[in-house]
Amino acid sequence: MSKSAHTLSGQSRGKRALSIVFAVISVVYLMPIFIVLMNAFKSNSAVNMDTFAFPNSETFMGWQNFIKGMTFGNYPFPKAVLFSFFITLVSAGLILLCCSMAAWYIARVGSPFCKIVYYLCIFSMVVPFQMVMFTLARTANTVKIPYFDFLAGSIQKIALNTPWTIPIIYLGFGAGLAIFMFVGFVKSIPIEIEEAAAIDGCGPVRTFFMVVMPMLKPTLISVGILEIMWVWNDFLLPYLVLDRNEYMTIPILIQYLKGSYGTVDLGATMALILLSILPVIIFYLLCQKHIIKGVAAGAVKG
Amino acid sequence: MPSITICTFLTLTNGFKLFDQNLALTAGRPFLMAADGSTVKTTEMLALNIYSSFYSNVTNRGVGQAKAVLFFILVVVISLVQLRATRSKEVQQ
Repeated sequence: MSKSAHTLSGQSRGKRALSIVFAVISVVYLMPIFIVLMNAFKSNSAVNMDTFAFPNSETFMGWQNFIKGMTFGNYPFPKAVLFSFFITLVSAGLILLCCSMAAWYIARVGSPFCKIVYYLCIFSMVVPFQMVMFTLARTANTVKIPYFDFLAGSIQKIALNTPWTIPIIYLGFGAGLAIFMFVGFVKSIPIEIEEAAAIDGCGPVRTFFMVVMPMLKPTLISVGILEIMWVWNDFLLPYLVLDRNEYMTIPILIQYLKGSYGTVDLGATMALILLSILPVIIFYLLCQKHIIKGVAAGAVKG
Repeated sequence: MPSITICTFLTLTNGFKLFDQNLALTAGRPFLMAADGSTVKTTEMLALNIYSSFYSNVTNRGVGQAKAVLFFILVVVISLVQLRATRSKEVQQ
């Protein structure tokens, strides 16, 4: 009785020490976001000189930083938000659809071609973006996709440097990680279910959409979250590829706060950064449960 | 153990790819002057080196692309070695 009580208190002491250590580490990780939150309400000079201080009565700015950030310059802020949303959602949808189908094929048909494609996907994650961005920017201006224009009634060509076609470039970059995670998860789905569906008369298309995809849902959500976070925050690819007079996304808009007239409006920058963090945080908080389930399930059969 | 394989692989490759933090924190500074008058960036990592061979004052784009190919081969070899080493210690569940 006393021995079990001793081991119990020894265990809880060790766990308490660990939780204190992790609490300190998590404070270190959360500090930058909290500092951005505080600085969004401070005046410009206060952000520069007393970065880590709370806003007091003479440096508190209210909503002025937000309003200034949203109305400066000659590019409307809601338009940039809409472009960001459009590019993010279309890219994420395209990646999820195409990569889940590709991963299903790679996992079920184990031919040498599949193995080559799988290893190519893994090693495409090795390459940083800065290696290929020069040639990619040139390619995005030159490659033109023909489409049928209903207004003009003829075949028109559109290059890859518009927000309507930039999801294709994101598909190319995001396919590596997505296929990697999907293949790990599809391998853990028993093949008997698909054989039962085939016996019941399902072709491959119906088997995929009716049987496999509902079972892939945790991985779909976790891969979706990763891709959405990456595409939403991406600065370099839209900066190089999009025409900045017509199309801007939120990171580029924030960058424009810096270049105008040679000064940096720090308060407005912090306010806009806070606004751009919010959608992703809300989305992540809503889907947390699914992410953890997906990452745990996908990592087992890696 | 499979999680350790995947996490180590991802962290290793992300570590080699690191560009943003390097540029934001030091951008290669402190600069030292070499014997023949050229500046040497002392805290420059691989990705920043390749990037500056494309987009700096002294551009040498062919050499930059060659450096990128060598970088790719290097990281592939290292990660293959790591994958083989950790996969051999895995216990299938």
